[in-house]
Parts: sequence; structure tokens; C-alpha cells
Amino acid sequence: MSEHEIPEELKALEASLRGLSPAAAAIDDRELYFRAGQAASRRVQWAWQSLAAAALVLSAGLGLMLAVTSGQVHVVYVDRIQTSPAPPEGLPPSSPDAATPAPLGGRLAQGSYLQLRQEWSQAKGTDNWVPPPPESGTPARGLRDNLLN
Amino acid sequence: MGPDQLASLVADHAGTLTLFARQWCHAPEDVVQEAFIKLAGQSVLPARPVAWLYRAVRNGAISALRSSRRRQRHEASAAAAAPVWFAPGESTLDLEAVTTALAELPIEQREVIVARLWGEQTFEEIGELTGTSSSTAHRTYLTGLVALRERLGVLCPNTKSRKS
Repeated sequence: MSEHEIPEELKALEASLRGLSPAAAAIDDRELYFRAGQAASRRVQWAWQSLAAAALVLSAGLGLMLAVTSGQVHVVYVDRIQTSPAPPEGLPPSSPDAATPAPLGGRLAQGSYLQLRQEWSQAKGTDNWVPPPPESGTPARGLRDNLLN
Repeated sequence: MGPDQLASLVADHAGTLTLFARQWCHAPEDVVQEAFIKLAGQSVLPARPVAWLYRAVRNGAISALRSSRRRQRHEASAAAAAPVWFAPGESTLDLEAVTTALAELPIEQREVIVARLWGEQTFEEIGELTGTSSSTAHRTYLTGLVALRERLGVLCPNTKSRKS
């Protein structure tokens, strides 16, 4: 037995009532289809309007950013890489001190050997530097003479 | 939704939906028309468009009834002032008598009977529509049929009103 079975005594009435047709709806077909078309097109318009609004906001933001940053000049300092030519074959490589590139911009580690050397060179001048003459009668000379003898 | 599908739905269900909306409001055509327009504006077609239409019509008709604030007057005068709700068909029942008898039923029974008999909705769909279980919808339907039978003077299964 079905859960929603109709009793026999009501089936005839049900069939008679089902035989009745609802009165025709007094709906204006033209207006209905026109407004239905409007509703369907409004949905499509909404998508395009959203896309256009997003593009407008994006372009306005980019334009504003360009207007704000156009007057500023960014200067970027980059250390120049010093390249020394390779020594010709047969010649010994120059001393490590001479091969050491001089850093630009004075960017030397505080207290480093290079910085100390640079300061010393600026104070004394490297071209005029000569080793001091040995003084006679110094303990070193006396020691050498004793050893040779 | 394509225009052909919309036209098919209008042709097949506009009359029944109007009868369904008439259970609540005096301007059922407007409610039905708005329901069809809403359906056309849906981005995704409902899985069961007819059931969706019944729900939309029911909501629209109840809203129209509330906005008009004439429920008491409508219910009191429904039986006397209602136009004939049916067109002559295969049935031999008196159209005016059926209209009057149906209009005198409580709205809970009317909506179930209209949705079941002429809307061809299942009791499960009617339960979803009215917010009840399918069993409750079935019981309400049987109760309404019994009340209609009494009002129409149909005393036995094979007896029909011959007033028309």
C-alpha cells in the first residue's frame, strides 16, 4: 500500500475535479516577455558593468600612482667592478698588495688593513716612501757582525 | 533560460499558477507574471522550474495579501465575490459550485488541493512548498477533499453534481 494512497471513495471526486481546467490567466504576454527579456539582459549588463567598474578603478589607481611618483628621481649607486688585465705569460704575478683593487667610495671596513694602509698612504705619500737608512751602531748591526765573525 | 522554454512554461502553467495565487490575493495575474519574470532573471535555471514557480507565486501572493492588508475582508467575501476559477472542461461538476466550495475551505487545504490536483505537484514537493512534511500535506489534502465532497453534495463515489 502506498504511503500517499487516496481512498476509493475520494478517487471519483478527485478525478472529476481534475477534469476541470483552471480559467485562462489574463496575463499580457507581450509585457511578460518584454520584461523577462529585460530581466535576462539586466543580468548580462551587470557582468559587463562590474568588469568596466573594475577596469576604471584599476586605471584610476595606476594613474594616481603615476602622478604621485613622477617628480621623484631615484639615484642608485652601484660599485664599479674593477677588472685588472691578466699579466703576460712568463712574468710573475704582481705582489698581493699591488693586485688588491682599491675599493671605491672609501667603503673599507673600519680598522681593516686596507683602511689603515690607505690612511697611511694619504698621510705619507707612497711615491716618496723609502726605507729609513740603517743607523750605525745599532744592536742589529752588532748582532750581524758577531754572527759573521 | 531560453524564450522557447519560458513560453512553454507560460503556456502550460500560467493558468494553474493563477488559480494557485488566487487563493490569497485579488490580483493573481500580477503575481504570476512577476514570478515568470523572476525566473527569467535567474542566472542559473532551477532544477525544478515548476516547483520553483509555485514557491515564487506562493511567496508573492502572500506578500501581496499582506501589503493589501485586506485579509479579513478577502476571506469573508471570497466565496461571494470570487469569479469563476475554472473553465468548462471534461468534468460535469458545476463550475460555480466548485469555485464556491473551494473558496470556503481553509487556505491550508486550498493550497494543497490546487497544487496537487491542477498543479500536479507531488506530496513531497507540496510539503517543501508549505513547509510541512509530505505526510502532513497528504492528510491535509484528504481532509480538503472530504470537505469539498460535503460542500458539493457528492455523497457516494459514483455520484456527481449535475448542476452545470
